[in-house]
Amino acid sequence: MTVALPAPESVLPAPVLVVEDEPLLQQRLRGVLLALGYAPDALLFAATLAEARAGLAQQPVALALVDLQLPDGNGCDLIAQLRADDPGLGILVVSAWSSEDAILGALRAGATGYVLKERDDVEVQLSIRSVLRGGAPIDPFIARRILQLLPAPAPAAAGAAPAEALSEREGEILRLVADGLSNREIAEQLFLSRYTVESHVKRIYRKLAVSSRMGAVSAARTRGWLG
Amino acid sequence: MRRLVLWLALWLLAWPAAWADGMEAVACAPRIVSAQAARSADGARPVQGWERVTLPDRWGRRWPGYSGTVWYRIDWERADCAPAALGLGIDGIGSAGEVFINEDLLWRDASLAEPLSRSWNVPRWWLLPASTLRAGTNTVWVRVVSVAALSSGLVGTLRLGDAADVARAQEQAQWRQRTVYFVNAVLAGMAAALFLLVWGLRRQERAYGWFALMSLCWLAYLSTYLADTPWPFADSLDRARASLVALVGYVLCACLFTFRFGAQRLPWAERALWLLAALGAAAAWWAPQGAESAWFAAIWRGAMAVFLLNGLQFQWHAWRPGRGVAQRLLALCWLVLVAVALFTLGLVPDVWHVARNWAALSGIATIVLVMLLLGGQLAQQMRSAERFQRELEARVAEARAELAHAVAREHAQALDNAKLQERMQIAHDLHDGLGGSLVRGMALLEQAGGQLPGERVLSLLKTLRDDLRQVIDHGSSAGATVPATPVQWAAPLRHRVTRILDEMGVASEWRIAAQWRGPVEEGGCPSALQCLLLTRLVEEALSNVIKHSQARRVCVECALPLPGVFVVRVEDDGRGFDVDAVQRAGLSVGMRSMAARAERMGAVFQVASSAGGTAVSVVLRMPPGRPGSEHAESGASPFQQSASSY
Repeated sequence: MTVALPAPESVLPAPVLVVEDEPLLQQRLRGVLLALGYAPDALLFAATLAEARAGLAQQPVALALVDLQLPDGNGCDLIAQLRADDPGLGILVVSAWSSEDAILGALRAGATGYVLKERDDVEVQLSIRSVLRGGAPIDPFIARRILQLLPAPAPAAAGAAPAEALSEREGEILRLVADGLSNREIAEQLFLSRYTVESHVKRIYRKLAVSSRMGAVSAARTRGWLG
Repeated sequence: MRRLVLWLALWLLAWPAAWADGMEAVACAPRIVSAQAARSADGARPVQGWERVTLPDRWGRRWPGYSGTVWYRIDWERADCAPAALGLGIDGIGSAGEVFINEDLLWRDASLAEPLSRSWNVPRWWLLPASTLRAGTNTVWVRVVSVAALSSGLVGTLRLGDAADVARAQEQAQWRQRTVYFVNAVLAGMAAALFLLVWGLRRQERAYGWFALMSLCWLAYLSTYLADTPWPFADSLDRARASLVALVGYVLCACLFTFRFGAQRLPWAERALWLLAALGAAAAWWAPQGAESAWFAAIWRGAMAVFLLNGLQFQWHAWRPGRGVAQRLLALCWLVLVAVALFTLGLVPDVWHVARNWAALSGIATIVLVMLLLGGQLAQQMRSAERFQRELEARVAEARAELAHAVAREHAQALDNAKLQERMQIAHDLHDGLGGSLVRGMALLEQAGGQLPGERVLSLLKTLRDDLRQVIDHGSSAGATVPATPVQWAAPLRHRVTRILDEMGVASEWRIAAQWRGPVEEGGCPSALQCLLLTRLVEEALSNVIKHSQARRVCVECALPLPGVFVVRVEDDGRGFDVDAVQRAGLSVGMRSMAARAERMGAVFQVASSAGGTAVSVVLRMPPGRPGSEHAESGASPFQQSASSY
């Protein structure tokens, strides 16, 4: 691999939890993380959900890379647990041949972004760095689905809009993402900083998670599971 | 007990008094002393030729063949104790006449010359004016005008007595002689109209037609009893002939109706009936002068005999086992009429009385027949309608079940078919895409003879991975549709590549047409498979740029310069490479797979490279008229490679 990326950031959040059952891919992710500048002792590996939970019980983590298909269950449950414990935690899904719905499900559970295992190391590295910077990786397909799922931005009375409705700016960003523009291009087009764009995306993900929780609550209420 | 005895004693005492009252009333009533009749040639009251008669009187037997005027003289005695208001009632004068009390005219028919008024069946009564009455003997004079063939004379009952009694009696006579016939005539008319209508709507119901005709004939015959002038005939005799013809018609129709209703097949009897009817009608119409009375009576008897015979033969037919209720009811109806006729003949050997009773009964008979016919028919039709509805429901349910079954079967078949096709499609895609890459990779490894560096092998495997991804993407529903715009088509690739290029500090520019030129069928946009293949091709081109070119700028252009042409061009300002050398060495996995993909989608693939940069272009021709989900034919145009200065 001849691709050379700029030097990584100086301060890296540690420790990092990697939940991955395949040893070879564990090894690959270890390589990627080490290339980013992590020390070997800052990396925690778990092959199952149970192992991950046991590790979490001993110490909190600052970043999590989670596979969805694990021997003892779906990674989404772990993601929801992590998100509940730490609202600011960066959670990246590193998934195999996952369906669109599985990815969306992970995002709704609280993941900060996702990357497919089949991608080259460079792309995996990019996604991890994006999360480390406090951003949230997003791609056109996800942007389009979110535009369909969340309520459209309210035109004038923004204060009266429900909490999970998209703001006008968020809708704008999603449409640009859907057209394939990168965060840099979006930032240039909207005269924003790249960081602002990423924090917008993060907020959109949060709204997606909130809307799914509210949807679950209202669905439970209509079915009579709640009072 | 004592009270009872007392009541009994009182009653015994009172009884002679009541008896004495009755005796007194009888004693005080007017007493008819004598009734006499005399012919009058000029119509004036005759002086001589008076003969004693008993009332009511028909002169046909006394003076056969006599037509003209006859005077009747009824002498009666008025008692001193007679009631103040005395009444005179006559139940019929055949055929027209006038009535005097002593010398004063009481009443006169409208016409005493041909066409004669018809009063033979009209009961009338008058209050005798007290001023004209004398003590002792008084006389009622009745002048009667008639013709020989009719029932002539003072044919109705004559009543003389207390006006109230006479009025009461006349009221009963009115009911018996007029109202009953009128009611019957109305019923017959209604039945005739109703069944004519039914028969008109359903000609095959012959029985209804004959019943309607029978009712019409009966109506015509009943007019004999009700009409007060001979209209529309010229004189009384013609009227009588017409009545007889109507009667003959009635009997004929009744017989034919019976045959049809009972489904009896008696062609000989029918022919005989028609003949008899024709003979009867002709005889009635052309009966010789002077002998009309005898002829009429003979025709009447004949008609009645036929009617009775028919009624009896139908009994034999209808009461055999297996006949319907309607037929038995009709038989019962005829039986009643026959019984009444025979009974009446037994009491009074006079056909006219039979006619009277029949006329009275015919109304009830008509109603029974109508109810029988209509009710039976209605019930039968309702039954058959219900049966039809039940059958229909069953059939519909059956058909629905069959249809549901067939649809389910077809659906299952279609599903299996679709599954099979999809599997074959996946197999085909695997063979064409992944299989081709595998064969190429194996060839490459064989030719290298174990000298291939690890990096090459990795690149080979990545190509295989990408091909597998392509097959999977195309198999999933999202990959099977054409993106809405070129921008959306390029979006995923653009997103991924730009991210990497941004990180590498490579400037990227994307010039993408905003819209397609139209649907796949019109050649306005590529098919779904072409979209995927093109994505892979451009992805590989960009991947080469990222890995090998060391470019500072990349430009991707997607344009639709002409209808049916889609051009994708990737340019970089990198170090370039020797296209011919690479081609000769046969070592570039990426280049080969790009060419293979272009060939598969039928596109022209060109690579131009120099020290100043590289340009990869794909020109896809999209002829109109292709189906939307069609897969591009392979080998439509050979891939070309050319090296030129750039």
